[in-house]
Amino acid sequence: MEPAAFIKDFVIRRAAQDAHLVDDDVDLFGAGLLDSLGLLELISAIEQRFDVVLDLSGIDFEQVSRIGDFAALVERSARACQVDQA
Amino acid sequence: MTADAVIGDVRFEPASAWMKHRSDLIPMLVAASQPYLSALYGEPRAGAAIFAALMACGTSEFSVGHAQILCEAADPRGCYVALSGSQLPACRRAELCEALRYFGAGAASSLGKRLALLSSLLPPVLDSDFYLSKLAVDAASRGRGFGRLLLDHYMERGRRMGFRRFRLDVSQDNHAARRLYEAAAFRVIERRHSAPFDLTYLAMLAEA
Repeated sequence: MEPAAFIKDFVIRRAAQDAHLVDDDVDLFGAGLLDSLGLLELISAIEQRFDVVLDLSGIDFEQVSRIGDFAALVERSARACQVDQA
Repeated sequence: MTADAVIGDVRFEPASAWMKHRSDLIPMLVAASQPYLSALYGEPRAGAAIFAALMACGTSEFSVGHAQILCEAADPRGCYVALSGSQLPACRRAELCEALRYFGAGAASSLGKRLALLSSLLPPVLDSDFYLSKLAVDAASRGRGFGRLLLDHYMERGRRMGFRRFRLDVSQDNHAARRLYEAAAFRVIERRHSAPFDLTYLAMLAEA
């Protein structure tokens, strides 16, 4: 499963929302789909599932409040982890 | 109040004074945030580092823009941080974001577990509440009425901004703070306990 699909699935299950209400561009925090605790749980779930450590330095979470932006952060972190391991 | 009660050269300073007084204010804020802060982060030093980063960040919801600093002559005696309930979720996210940076890679899981255990301790705040996030008085200056000055300033400022509900959370064991709030017509609306940390907090409300 790609990061974007994984994040979307996590949010839908956690917020018990219908899938059609959660698209890549919805503001997860503004729409009440994700709170502080949910954010921490999502980060740990991503780190386990994709075997990455998210690079959170310099990240403002208000800027990654959309699934598309969050998934891009996961992909950037995954590439950085691969470089480290190479 | 004692013979040392507040008189003379006492004034509120704008948020821009934060950087000048931060080394005095951060320990006050850390002390005022206990025991919740140490339960969440595991150690008081983390709270100090996280507050310093948050307050210095102009774009953060939890910035000096929400702080008011009380000075006697050139010395800070206390401060408070207050914000609208509608701003609180973003402020708490910003704090967690700083906590993740402080603890470094892979901290989300352990921090999440602690937050989950503490999340039921503080009841929800309404968007229409003016929330008193922190109220801190310098330890050596207690008993001189600075706490009441800070609290009155907070409520007056909130009224001017159009708020009618004033909300705060306080540790049940913080008797001095509870007396201060009760004297200003705050009443307990909920009492919550976290068994794993053996913490009890009271949600208090005053209505203008």
